[in-house]
Amino acid sequence: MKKDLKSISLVFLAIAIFSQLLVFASIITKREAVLRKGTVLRFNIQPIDPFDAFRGQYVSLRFQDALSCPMTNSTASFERGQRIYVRFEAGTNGMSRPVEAIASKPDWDGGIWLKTRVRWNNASDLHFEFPIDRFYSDEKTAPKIEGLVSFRSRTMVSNACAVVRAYHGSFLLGDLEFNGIPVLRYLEQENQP
Amino acid sequence: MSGNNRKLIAGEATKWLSAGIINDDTQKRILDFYEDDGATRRSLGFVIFASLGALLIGLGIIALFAANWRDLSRSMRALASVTPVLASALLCLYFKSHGKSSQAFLEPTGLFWGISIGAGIALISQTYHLPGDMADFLLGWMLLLIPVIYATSSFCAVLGYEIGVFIWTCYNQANAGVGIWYWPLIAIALPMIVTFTKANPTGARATLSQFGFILFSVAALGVTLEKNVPGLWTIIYSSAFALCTLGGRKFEDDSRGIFKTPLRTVGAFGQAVLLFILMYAWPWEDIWDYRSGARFHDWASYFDYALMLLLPAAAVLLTIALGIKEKTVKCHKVNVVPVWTAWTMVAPLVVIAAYVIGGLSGGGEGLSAALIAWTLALLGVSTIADGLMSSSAARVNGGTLCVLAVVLGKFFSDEFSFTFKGLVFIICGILFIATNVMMSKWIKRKAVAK
Repeated sequence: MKKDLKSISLVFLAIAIFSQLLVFASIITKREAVLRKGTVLRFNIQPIDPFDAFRGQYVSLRFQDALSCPMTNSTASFERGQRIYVRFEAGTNGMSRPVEAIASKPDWDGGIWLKTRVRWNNASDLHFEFPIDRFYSDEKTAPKIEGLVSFRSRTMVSNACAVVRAYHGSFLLGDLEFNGIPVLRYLEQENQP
Repeated sequence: MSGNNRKLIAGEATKWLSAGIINDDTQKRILDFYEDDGATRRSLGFVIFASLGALLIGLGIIALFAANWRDLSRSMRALASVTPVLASALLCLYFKSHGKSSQAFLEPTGLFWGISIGAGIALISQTYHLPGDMADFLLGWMLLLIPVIYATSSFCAVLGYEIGVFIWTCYNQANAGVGIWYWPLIAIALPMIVTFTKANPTGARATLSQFGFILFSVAALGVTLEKNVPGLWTIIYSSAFALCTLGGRKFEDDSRGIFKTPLRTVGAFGQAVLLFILMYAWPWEDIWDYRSGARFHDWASYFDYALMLLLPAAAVLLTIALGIKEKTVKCHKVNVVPVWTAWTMVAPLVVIAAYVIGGLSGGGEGLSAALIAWTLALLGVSTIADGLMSSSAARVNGGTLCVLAVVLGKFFSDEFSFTFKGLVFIICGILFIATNVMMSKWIKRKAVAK
């Protein structure tokens, strides 16, 4: 009897461990799929630089023209928290922007779609949740990236953008680019005499 | 028993032997009874130091992760995030399957495993730049900690879970979320706390995890109320403290001290502090307003209303049920109900009355405050009387403190000169000492008479 109980408890323990690892594995594989198979989009950004006690230093990202799309007759009835799908298109400057929102699941191959929820809406715009809000970096680099943005506002870095991968409704941040150069390489170039 | 107490008993037994009170055989039996269990103490020492080691290693891993390893590739980081979790899980599985179920092995494993999960989530978040605030991070961590609690029976994991769930609730409520999810989440840890208590009711694991559970739940009660109607907390808290005291009467042994009876201690102390706060007018101001807006959720306020109805009813009914079972106290050959029933039934009912009066326009809050002040003073006096009848110095001191709190508290809020206040302080101090001296003499006389 005691041996049976021990075996049962070991089986439960193994299931618990497996489930725990499954959670980690699903987070990793889903993100890897987006990064490997996703379409590349670019968004204009305005970063600021806070700190997370557990996860370290990061650059908090503020997006221009990525968080809302124009209100139409069909989107006027959308309610706060409702599941929606937003289609993105590249603009003339190469930066992506949302163009329409629908409530039903789209054909993933018929455009670049984001699966998200309504935040709020007004007479002209529908605002939705954007799944990217931070770029993690180490404690030395994050303030430099933030410094780049304040530098940009005055002089030469004219094009700061977030490089995002989109795949089957999921968006994932890949990198930041300054003047078309990945941020870490840009910083290395800046540090060279 | 601690080493010092054991030494004391051994010394006393030697004295009794030389005085001829006990013989050699009795002395040996006494010493055998209180034999030094060196193995247990060594094991406890190992648990503490191994846990400390596991904690330091875990914190070190978090610091390394947070430093954001630029030199590692993405796949290496993903692997590194899961490796400590996998290692501690396999270690636990090994201990369990090889019959090494001692806490000396499982406690540090549980601690390291728990920290590894937090570190793992942190590294994955960094690697993939995942969004989400501290609340999302904590919730994920706490949910994954549940298997660790039950696999290792680790006290540190339970305490970490209690703290994590509480902080998550605070974040959630502060960011316009709903806090009531605290209750189902914390209930998940309850069976493990019951297991600790059944194994050793007065042990450190049982007592500390109970204190953690009760104190965090008391604090969370205030956080999780939706507060659309301000002031309901007065009734809810008073009844909750009454229920804590009643739980203590039911489940905790009379002979234990205040540090081994978490329910009684938190219940009595909490009720006294609550009444002390409510004897001022400010808690009663604006209590019948209704607040709404983006930060308030109408549906969640039904939780407040349910508690406001259920907790006082439960406190009154349980007081009657338990009070009937308990022997009444004899005072000059007259049976009187024990004083704890006043703390568990009268206090919540008076708070309800004060709440209703406080809602009346035109000075209602002043009347409420006065009603509570008088109630606290009377409860203090009753407790002193109960302490004298049952020869309990703790109750006499507790009652005296309540009376003094009313006198000094009310006194501070009024405009008196420092000279006058100083004199009153001195008189109160003298009264406090005099009560204790009289009490000790009275108890001595009673003992001699017996």
